[in-house]
Amino acid sequence: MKIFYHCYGSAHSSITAANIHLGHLPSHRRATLGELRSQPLFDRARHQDIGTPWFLGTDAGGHDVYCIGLHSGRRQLAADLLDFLIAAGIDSNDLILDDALRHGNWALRVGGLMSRRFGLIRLGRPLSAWGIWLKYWRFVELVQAVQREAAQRTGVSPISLTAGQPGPIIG
Amino acid sequence: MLVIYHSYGGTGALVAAALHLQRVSGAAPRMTPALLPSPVGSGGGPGLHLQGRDADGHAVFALARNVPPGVIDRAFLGVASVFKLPATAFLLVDAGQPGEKSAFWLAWGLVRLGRPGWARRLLARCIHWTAAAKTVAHTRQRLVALAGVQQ
Repeated sequence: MKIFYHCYGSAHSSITAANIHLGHLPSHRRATLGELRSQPLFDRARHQDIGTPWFLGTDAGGHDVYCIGLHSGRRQLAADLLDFLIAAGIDSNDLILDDALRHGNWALRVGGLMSRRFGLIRLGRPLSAWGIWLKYWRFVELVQAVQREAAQRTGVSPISLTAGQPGPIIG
Repeated sequence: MLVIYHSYGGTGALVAAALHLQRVSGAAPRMTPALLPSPVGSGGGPGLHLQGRDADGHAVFALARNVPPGVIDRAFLGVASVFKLPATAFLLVDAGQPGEKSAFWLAWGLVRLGRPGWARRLLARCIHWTAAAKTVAHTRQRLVALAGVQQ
């Protein structure tokens, strides 16, 4: 199965969701701002990359995890992509397209705009990381919902083995 | 093969698909209600819509997009690559016309003001039939070339 997390520009929200999914970021505690800023591919995609899918890794269930930026019309374009793949003969059960920006807040959006659009990286990157930090548990919930969906469809748990030792949920 | 004509709002894509399927022809074709997209707010919606199959069996689609054409190209080609669809499985054609985006939003406003007839006339005026016919002719040439590659 292929799992696509999509957002505006595949620089922040979708990258964070994918890294939580793959265990590069913790799901049992809130990631620190430093961890968020240093996660793979965070705040890296350029404006001209919007639309290009990025492969982030394969989870323990064998599901390939991707990020894709779908610009401002992401919900419609995600539906169009699904229609296209079905028309091309792909089984719709073989993919999940999930909107990772639905929990985005103003800090994330403004920070992303400053960093990716206007090149104000020193201001925009910490601001977008803070925006994600504020909503971190929403991202964890979003990822867990996708993981449950993937497990239901395939019968294979996608919980990553690279996530470290499982621990109790604190707080 | 899937032939996907796309344009902002969908008018250009619908016109190109109709020309491709030879539903309209002649030196001065007329805009018919079937060629007009349903503007946002008037009960219709954007999306990928199958228009029919041409004489060679290609499925012809019209896509009303609301993002720049480059995003469409990268997203469709990208996911096709992820699913290992061959390059000859589909053809994306930008059927956008100059001024189509502005006309679409003006038409949307007119529909909201209760003037769907005006909206229709406005959308019809933004279509340059010669340019659409050229786009379709070029697409046919590409289809012939791709068929040669497949053989």
